[in-house]
Amino acid sequence: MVLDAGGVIVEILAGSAGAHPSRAELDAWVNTYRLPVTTVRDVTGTPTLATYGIRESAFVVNLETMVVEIKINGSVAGIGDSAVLQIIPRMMTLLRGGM
Amino acid sequence: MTRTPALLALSTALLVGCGSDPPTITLDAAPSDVSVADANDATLEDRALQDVLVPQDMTAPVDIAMTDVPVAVDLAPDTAADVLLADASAGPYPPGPYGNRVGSVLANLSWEGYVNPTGGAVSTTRTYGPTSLQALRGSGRGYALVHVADFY
Repeated sequence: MVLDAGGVIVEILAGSAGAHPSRAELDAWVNTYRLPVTTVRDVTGTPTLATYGIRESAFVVNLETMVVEIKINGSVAGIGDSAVLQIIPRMMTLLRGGM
Repeated sequence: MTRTPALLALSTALLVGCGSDPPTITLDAAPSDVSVADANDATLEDRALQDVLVPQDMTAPVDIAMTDVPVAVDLAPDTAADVLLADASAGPYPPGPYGNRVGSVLANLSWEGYVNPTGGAVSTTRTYGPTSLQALRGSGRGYALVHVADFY
């Protein structure tokens, strides 16, 4: 839906219990959920966690300015909708030219 | 593992068209951007405690994001190897200062993994290699959804 609307999706497996995730963990992450989106991990360490924030942080970024337009922190306790589910409708509004 | 099956929903339905000119950038302090910590969860990481507040007044705009990370330089300069899906038409990566709040410029980080811009197949069927946020900008038009996950 988002991809077909021209959006870009980046799923970052930023940690494994806070540590650097292995290649095997990245593969398991993709295969278990059959993710059809760009899925990546840090080359070493956990700079994504240090720079972007904790898990369940979701951002909508304007690709021209790279400015964060929307940010949602989902519950790290797994309560309620995930950050992705919460942010998709708002991203789709932007992709359709809305505010 | 933590939840991400929500990402499966992204591959459904067919919609065509990119966004129009980007809207005016404003700080988004809507209540939907506020997450409430589970007070009974004793296993929250320190960063979660810093990043999540329980405002006394839910109608009051609260920026619960982490303090801007004072990154003065581009953390992932483009190199010849940093080219899974690089597109020169995106232009140079915007300068900092960088941060992770609404209104901040997100820092250009380098990663490795599966670049899958079309979503036509499970990503492990794609080539594994280096990439970066700059490389993933494509034409520099539209919007990107960036999600931070943790393997459990």
